[in-house]
Amino acid sequence: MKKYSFVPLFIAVSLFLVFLFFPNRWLEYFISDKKVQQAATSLSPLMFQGDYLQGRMLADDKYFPIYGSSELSRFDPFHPSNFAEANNLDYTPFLIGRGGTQSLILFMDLASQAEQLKGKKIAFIVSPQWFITEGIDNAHFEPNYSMLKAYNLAFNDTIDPELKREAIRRILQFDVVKRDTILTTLYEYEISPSKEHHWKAKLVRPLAYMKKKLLEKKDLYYAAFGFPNRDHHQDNDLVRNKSWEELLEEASNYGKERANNNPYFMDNDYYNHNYAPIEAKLKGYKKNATFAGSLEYQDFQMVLDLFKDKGADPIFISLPINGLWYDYAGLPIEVRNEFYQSIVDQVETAGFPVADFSGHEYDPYFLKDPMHIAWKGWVYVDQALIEHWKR
Amino acid sequence: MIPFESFYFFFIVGILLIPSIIMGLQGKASRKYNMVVTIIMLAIIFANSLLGTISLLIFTIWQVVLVKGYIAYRKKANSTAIFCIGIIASIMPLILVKILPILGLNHLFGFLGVSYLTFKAVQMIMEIRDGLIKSEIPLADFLYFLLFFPSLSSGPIDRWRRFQKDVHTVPTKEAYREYLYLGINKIFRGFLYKFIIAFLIHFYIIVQLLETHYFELHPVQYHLLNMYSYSLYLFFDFAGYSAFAIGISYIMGIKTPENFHLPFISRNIKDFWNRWHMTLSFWFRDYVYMRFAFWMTKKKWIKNRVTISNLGYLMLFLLMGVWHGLAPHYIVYGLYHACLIIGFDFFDRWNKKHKVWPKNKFTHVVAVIITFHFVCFGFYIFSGNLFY
Amino acid sequence: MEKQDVYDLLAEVCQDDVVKEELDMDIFEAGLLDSFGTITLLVEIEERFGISVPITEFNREEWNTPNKIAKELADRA
Repeated sequence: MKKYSFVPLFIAVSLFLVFLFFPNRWLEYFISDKKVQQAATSLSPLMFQGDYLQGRMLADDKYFPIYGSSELSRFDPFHPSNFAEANNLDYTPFLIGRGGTQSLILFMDLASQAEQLKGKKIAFIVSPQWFITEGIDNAHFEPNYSMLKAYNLAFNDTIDPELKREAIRRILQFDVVKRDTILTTLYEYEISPSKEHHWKAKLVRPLAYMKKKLLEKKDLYYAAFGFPNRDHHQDNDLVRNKSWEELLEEASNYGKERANNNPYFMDNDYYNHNYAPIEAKLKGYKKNATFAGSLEYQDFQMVLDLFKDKGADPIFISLPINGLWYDYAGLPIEVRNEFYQSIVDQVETAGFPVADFSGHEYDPYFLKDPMHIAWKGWVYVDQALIEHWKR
Repeated sequence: MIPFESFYFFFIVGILLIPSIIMGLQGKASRKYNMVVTIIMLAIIFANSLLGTISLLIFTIWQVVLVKGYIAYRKKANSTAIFCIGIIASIMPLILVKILPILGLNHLFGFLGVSYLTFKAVQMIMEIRDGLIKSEIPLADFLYFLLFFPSLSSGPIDRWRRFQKDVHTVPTKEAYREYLYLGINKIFRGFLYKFIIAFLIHFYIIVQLLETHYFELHPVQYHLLNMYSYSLYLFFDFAGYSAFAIGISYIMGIKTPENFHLPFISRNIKDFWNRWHMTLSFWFRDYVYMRFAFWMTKKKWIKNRVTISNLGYLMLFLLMGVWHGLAPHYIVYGLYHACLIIGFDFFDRWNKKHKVWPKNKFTHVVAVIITFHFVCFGFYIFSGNLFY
Repeated sequence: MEKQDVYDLLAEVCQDDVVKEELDMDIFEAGLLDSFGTITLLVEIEERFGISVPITEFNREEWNTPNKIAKELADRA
């Protein structure tokens, strides 16, 4: 009969326990400032879903966090991260967002760091494509959902209770949350504190707390491991020590080289890849689209309320969509303009500044495709960021 | 709670199985205790789904009535019509689960694992018909077999007679030591496959690389990268999952059959189906293909063996495709594999006559490489990325 | 039904006389009998010897050599 040794099992379990109970403080020694710096342009979903690196970033005055979505990964020499580095600006943009990180996801992220927002300079880029009728759906919510932040929200007693309840009611609509029995039990107690919910919540609270601690530990390991830098398409000489006029000129030339095979000033590769084959089919396909009544407005309002409640110092950047393309797609200009105005109104009502770029819908090389800012667009954003930073 | 997804799941199972391990190492029977563990785990798995719980209860009662009723009937008579009604009735819950969402009624019936549980129930009816299951089926044993929690959500698909034999054999102290060792080994292999390799492939290639470089990659590069990474991901995720299910079964004294045997070194497509999702393909082979071919041969409705065999394959893979879901890409996936296997059969016969493809080490390696690419393309169809 | 009859039948179905000589050879491993061969074999067994063996009974662990097949059939005759 073969001999079976269980020694490897005990080694594996002990190693696991060592990692599990390794003190957080010691782990933090492995996370240098350089790792925080690298994370600034890593655009890593694990970093977005985590807490630790973002906490370190917010505590450091040199970082200028930019919250947004897919446009952040459209790197070119004019991108805020490259621009700031080339010109040795006194801030370093820290990018938070990718496809699908809409208001609700960013709200959960910010709420998790609510105590660090006071007086912090922040940029928040609003994209029109978020504001479809149903707002963010399961398919976009799930890959960006951070369990850690959802648990943090349940344990958060520093943000306005009414805002917390509103957020919880909204978050509870998503499948990934519904599947999490522990979390839903805590959430349900928060929104309807009946006797039954009370003892249930009491029962799962220690479990939830343990889970939160585990997730924090996991986040620390990821942070210690580090997040690699992205290829930035950096070109320092192109953007160093130039006036805004010169920069706009450079950006136009840069764009002209890359967007010249279609009437919409879209990036050639992008156009060939995505639109050329089906262009005819898309004529007028957006003619019944509307922004009115989108759930996203309420999610966005929660972000505004949180900033206000916590005394943050944000600037909102309202981006246009490609006018030439959306004329072709049939989305009426009145609908578009009405939307841009509603964003400006909503932000200004909350008392925050807004850089409204909706006038650039037909401005060539401001966008590189139907909705993503690039080239000239980034130059205008750089300008807005500098102004806000100095204010 | 979804099985095998979280730290807590393994933690709970680990605690619950301590008594099983102690009893096993002393050479004592742990059957009754393991049944209790299964009930507790079912409660935990379905705790947050009222619809799932009710559906599971209805499904279970339905299958118990069918199996018990059919075995009572089979002792007296053996009509083919009743047999067919029995089979259809047994598959009915699964058909409902597949069709209701199309009618927009997706919140009416359905639960985790319904596809896999159906296989276990249908084989009972078939084996009763064959006279292979004659003795009384104890209710507790049947429920234990049907609802055995490690293989509840996605297999492996066990067989009643095999399972029953394991349940009623108490391993000796030494034998259980081996079970325990192998079980833990498999669970740790599962950790490696699912939580390390599959996670890394998914995170660093499928999500990160493909998302960020979508516009920089040539469409052909993009599709190829997506195809190979998805194939490897699918294997490591599913094989890891199966390893958990098998490992936990072993600790409970049940030698649940293997589901994967190095599928990417298959030398041809037939070999592949003997190595990939084995319990599923063997189920279809034994209960669909073989039965169909036997019946056709016996009744002499179709004389040509090749025609019978090809029709059998077509039916098998179409059914397998539909079983995955009623979406077009699953059906195309089934057709694709039917074509591959029919094509391979044709080539194999032709080669036996003409001997152009000799059997040696070199051709073996080439055959493995060719098969690998065909298989990956199949998974790419399966992923649906080709269609949307 | 003699043992020899079973071997003859197997040789017919497998289209190879080696099964008459190497009685303990695994005919599935050797690639002599595949799924479809199994069917033919079962139909022939039923027709020639009047023994019906259910398909799921005919598994590849207990019916894999000429000797084992002959023994299983003898038990059923």
